[in-house]
Amino acid sequence: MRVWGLYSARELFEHVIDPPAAIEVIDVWKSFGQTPVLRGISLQINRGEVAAIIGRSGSGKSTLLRCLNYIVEFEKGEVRVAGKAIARGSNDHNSGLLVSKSELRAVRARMPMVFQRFNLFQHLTVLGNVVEPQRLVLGRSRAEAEQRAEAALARVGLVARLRHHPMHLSGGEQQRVGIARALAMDPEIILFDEPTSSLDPELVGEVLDIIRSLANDGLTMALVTHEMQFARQTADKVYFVDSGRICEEGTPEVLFESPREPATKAFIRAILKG
Amino acid sequence: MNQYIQDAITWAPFFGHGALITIVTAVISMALSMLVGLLVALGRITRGGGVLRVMRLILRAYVETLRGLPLIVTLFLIYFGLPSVGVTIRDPLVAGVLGLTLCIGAYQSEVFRAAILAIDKGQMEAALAFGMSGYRAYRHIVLPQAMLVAVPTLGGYFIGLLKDTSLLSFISVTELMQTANNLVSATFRAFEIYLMVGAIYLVLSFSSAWLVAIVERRLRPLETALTGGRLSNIGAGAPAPDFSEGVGPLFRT
Repeated sequence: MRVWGLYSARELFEHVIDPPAAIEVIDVWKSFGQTPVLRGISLQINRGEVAAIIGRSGSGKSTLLRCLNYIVEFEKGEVRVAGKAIARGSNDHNSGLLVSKSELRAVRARMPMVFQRFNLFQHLTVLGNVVEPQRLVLGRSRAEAEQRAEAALARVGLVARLRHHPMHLSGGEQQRVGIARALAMDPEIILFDEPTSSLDPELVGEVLDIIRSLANDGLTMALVTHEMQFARQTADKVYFVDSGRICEEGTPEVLFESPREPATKAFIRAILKG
Repeated sequence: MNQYIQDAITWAPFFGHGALITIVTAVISMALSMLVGLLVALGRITRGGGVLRVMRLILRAYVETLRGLPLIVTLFLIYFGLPSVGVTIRDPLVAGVLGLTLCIGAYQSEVFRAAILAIDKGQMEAALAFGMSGYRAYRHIVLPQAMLVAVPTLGGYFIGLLKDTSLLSFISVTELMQTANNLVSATFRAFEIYLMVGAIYLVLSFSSAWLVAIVERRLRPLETALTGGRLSNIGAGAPAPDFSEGVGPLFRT
């Protein structure tokens, strides 16, 4: 078991006896101005689990994902990472951060994100994109970071493109660099925010194949996606989010084949028709 | 004609010296005004109230004032005006560089501000999501990209600055223009001398423009990639990005 560098000896002992969930979200509420986005979301992602978060556009999925690493603050609730409370609801007077800023950054570094629009650093080469976060955040030497970057890029099949700039790559290649950038951080969990939504249809497969192989290796993942077929095959647990609430959750079999809630049924039916 | 060539050779060392002062003044003022411009731009995109708010107001007042004043007025205020309130800058060249820096810096701060705002917000978000501090994210991710975006525009400002240095002749800096004035007073050959000075300015401008064009050609594709072609949409009134609560609201969920 990896240590997050946040524990006292006693906490460490307790965690070995009873390993905590990788991420716990407890009754999180969030609104943008007057518009409620998350309305009491609770979920738990365990080690080695692939949690797919599905739902309509605008249902709050991506915002939820950004609460996990506290890139987005929320008004009420709590987020725990590896059993440690990281943040709770905040308002104008109180910060919701429960750990120091450097501890938060350490947590974020171990739960990197893969973005819908890739968000590769445009001024850096492919290699630079994977090397620089390791050097700047984890303090690794250039030699070590490059070695790990090459391993991560080999994993996504892009060693031939080390010196290219992101703008000269296809969307699928860019997203694979995005995944390699996350892998090189030795992540505890990777947060995927609609990783294939801005790809041309013929490029979706190559990215999903990589995510699937990571899932088979037992990497913990939170995956916001519109790829229902993929979620069904890969996820251990599926959360259906509807207007800021978790409308239904369960194994893919249950959720896709015998959903209980009318909203879930309607959504699944609409997807199957499309 | 022969006589003119003879004279030109006689005047050449003076023009050489004047041109050197012009170039050095322009380069130093450019470097300093880029520094001023970058710092002012960073100050103006901060968020938050209290001291920061006051700072933003002061910086805004600085930019608007210096952009509104003719450069010659700024120069006269610094060189002839300030001594009457006890601040004397003896060396006119120092006063001139100060005036140019303050004036061009105000313009450049807007260039930097637009460039920073034009960088895709996803860059900042990715940097933060990978555990970088706000400082690191700016220093290593946002600013290097903003600089690349700003460089072609700054090149254009440099050419303008090169010509603006001629105003320093009014506060007795012996740059190219003042050299010409002195030669004319001594020889009364205004037409030949100003023609020659004009030719030297043209050579300086054209060679700078040529350099800028080369740099621009190399950076333009990158600039489009960095900003998604949004730079042209960013005007003085564009809202600053708000990272105070992450960058969530702009993202489709």
